[in-house]
Amino acid sequence: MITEQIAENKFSIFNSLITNDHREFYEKIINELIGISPICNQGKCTAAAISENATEQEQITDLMGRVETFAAELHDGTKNLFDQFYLAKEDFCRSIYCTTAYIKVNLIDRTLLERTCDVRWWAMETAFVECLERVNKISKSLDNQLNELNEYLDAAKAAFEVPTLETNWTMRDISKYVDDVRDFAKRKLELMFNQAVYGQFKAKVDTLAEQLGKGKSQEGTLAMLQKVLKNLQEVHDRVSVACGRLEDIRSSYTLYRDLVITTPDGVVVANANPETRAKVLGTNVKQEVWFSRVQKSIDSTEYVIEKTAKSVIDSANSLVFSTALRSKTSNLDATIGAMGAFFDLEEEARIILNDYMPRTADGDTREGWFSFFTDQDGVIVGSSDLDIMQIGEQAHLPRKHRKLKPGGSVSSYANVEGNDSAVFSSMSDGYLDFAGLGWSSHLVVPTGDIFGSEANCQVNGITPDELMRSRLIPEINKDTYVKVQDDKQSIKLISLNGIVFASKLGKRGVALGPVFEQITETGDFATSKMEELLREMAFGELRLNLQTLETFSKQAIDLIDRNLFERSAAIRWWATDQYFWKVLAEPTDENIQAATRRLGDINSSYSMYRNLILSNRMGKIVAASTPELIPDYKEVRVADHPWFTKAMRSKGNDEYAVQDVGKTELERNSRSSLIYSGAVRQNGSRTGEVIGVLGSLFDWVTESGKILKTCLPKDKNGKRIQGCVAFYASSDLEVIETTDGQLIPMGTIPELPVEHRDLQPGESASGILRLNGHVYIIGSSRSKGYREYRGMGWSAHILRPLF
Amino acid sequence: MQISTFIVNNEMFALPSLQVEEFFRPMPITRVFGVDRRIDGLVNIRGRTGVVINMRRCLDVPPRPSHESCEMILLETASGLVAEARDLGLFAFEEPLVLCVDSVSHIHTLDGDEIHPPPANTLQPFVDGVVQTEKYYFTMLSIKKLVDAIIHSQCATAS
Repeated sequence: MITEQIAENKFSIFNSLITNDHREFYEKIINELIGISPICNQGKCTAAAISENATEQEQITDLMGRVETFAAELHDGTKNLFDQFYLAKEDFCRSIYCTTAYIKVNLIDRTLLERTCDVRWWAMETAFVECLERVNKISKSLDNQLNELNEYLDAAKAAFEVPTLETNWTMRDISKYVDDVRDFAKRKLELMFNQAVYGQFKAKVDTLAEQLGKGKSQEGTLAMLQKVLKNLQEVHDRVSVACGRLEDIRSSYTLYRDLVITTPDGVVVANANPETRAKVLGTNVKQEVWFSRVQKSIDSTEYVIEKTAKSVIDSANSLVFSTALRSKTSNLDATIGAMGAFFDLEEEARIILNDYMPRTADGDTREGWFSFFTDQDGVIVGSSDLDIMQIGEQAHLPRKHRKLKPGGSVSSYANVEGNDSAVFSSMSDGYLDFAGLGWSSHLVVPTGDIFGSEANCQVNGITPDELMRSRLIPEINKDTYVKVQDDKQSIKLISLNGIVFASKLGKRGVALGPVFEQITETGDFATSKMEELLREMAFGELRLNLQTLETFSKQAIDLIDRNLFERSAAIRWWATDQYFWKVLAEPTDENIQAATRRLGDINSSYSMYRNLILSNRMGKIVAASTPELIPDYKEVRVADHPWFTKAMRSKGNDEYAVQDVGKTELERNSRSSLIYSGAVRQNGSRTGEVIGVLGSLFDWVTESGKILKTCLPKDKNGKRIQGCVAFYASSDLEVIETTDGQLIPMGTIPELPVEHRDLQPGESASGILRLNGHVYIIGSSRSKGYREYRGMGWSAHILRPLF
Repeated sequence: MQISTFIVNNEMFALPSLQVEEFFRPMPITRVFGVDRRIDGLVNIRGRTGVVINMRRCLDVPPRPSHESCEMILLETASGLVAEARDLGLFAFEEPLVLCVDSVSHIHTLDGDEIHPPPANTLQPFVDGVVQTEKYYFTMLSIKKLVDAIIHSQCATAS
């Protein structure tokens, strides 16, 4: 599939990567320059013919010699120029495409980090712990009870007497009824976890009980039947609550295909996906790696991530995050079960891999471009083209692409699917305290798209000359440009001097005229061609830089969208927490304390919230995660705050509300916050009556500032390029966060070119920006949201100075 | 007759080629204290000392942007004038003079009748005439008037 080609680190004109246009270009220049030598010889001969004066002859020969020297220099210069041209492009593309590959795997890492927090946090949910504790206990006692019941039933079957008129008692055969019930009694797991089976069992038991009720001395059997039914009913009630909570999670965090909790033996007790519930509940996952690995964990901080495609829970490509559930009451080490969260890897990989790829007019990815992830064994785990790079297959990559170090990147030329391409790979180095899964991200770009000639050397707002002098152009290219212009000037002056000299010879000099004119022409042609090429190179460089800024601005807006998606998911889930609806229904001191503690627990597990606030339906604050602020809140009514009113109007717990970045009286020092909110409903139901609102004050400035800094352009050595600025703008294009408050102050509306102002969701643009007497290149991207999070219409902008 | 054209501040000027000794690239200029502001200083041309006249200052236009280079025109001295030049009545000074211009452009061959007298009310005092080619008009520069103007003002300052 992929065959590696060895790249030379010097581009001769014979290198296969040099485009036909450039070969032609090269040939023209060289041909012209080769033509100089005969012209000069002709000049020298003419000099000898027209003048016998030795000084005059020497002057002409000297001029011709100088022309030849410059022509030779231009000849070498042309060769170097092509080398520089291709090296610069190669270098720059390596940097931008390796970065793009890294951004992709980094996006996965960031998402996965959040997931590892999720599963551990959910494992502490009371409903799950209580459910498992009870179910485990009941399950054990049911074994005995069902055995006992069997004995009772055997006895009943053997001798069952009913009263009659003729004799006092007579035998009656109820084995049919007994057998019906006995058959079910063998199917404990189904009785516990399958609603339908349980329902049938209940009906059979009722029929049997009716019969038994007529008989003699059947109280023991009846009591046993009731006991079993009562226990089974409790299991179903507990399971139903647990399933409800799992569904709440899944409807808040739409990243999961399913979530399950299991007993320590691997029996699935509850799941989040109602469509597969009948099939999944009661099945055993003992054989699955995500389950068996978690059994070996020591405490609740441990989690396991396992890739699976063949789970009994879900057959799609998923990453299962699992952790052990532990008893809250008894011994801390006692494992009472496991939780598995099936992260939708397929969809996540699809979103990330199809992003940052050029598209055709039809919206398809450009031909020859591929993006895929491989795991530590080099097996493809996600692909932008599932027909060509198939999941589960070994990726046929050059060896060095399979032996990357964390955070490392590499590029090679290779033939991929018949296209001459370059492969850029970067390996994950995890994110914060998440070490990553050892995955690598690969980007395949056709060489034609890297080295193709610039169609037209024009970018609005900048002249070629300005561009050549800008900070974008590497010194070596600038030097070449200066040298070419120098040579051009020298040749021009030499030939003009020649013409002036010839004119002073009067009639004798006429023969020299055409020689110098030819030299001027050739020199002009060669040097202007070279200037053209240098300009093409400069515009190529500019275009790549613009593309880089677009990529970075897109990364900036994507990262904030993903971050805010998490916030919107979290608030929806927390709003269903029992502590909150309980305290709103019954605001006793005890309940208030419990709710405050819960808010505090949540806030201390996350670093990005300044405060969490629970308000009742009247807009009065009942509890907050920072209790010291409660006295401040005594007088505060939030009834007219947008975060409150929007949440009050929401229709179900799959909705959330958000108040755009701004100052709020809920903050001390009038800091600005972004507030997410979710409605708290009666009894934590999904669509019931709203009894209050939970709001989270997101530390916007710190979080967005951190993200913006990571998206500032860096040079080849990874150092930030000086003078670059990144900022976020709201939907009204007002600056809401900036890395340079002097150049782009907060709260202002910078004057951006129209194509940067009118971006559609998900669109990017780049161009030239003149601001305060400086010239910048600018890349902008507007938010397209992430999954069902629609985004706030914000945009990210990155500026890089040219002068 | 051949004329050499050059550009100052995007305007095209011309000189008879016979009045030109050599064109050359900018070279280091030694400043001279107290001279007219139109004189940049002195240059050493293969052992001869040339006085550099800044054409932008003479024409009273803004200085050249720092990143743009200039070119120099060494004028023929009286001793170097060829007979044809003398016949045409072209003027030359005894000492080497150098014009600092934005760039040297082309050399044109003219018939005598393409040179017209300067337009009436012309503001520039050192214009000898206007050259008409197919597309453009060039201003023919009078070296004598130009240098005279500098010397006069120097004399005025001195007195």
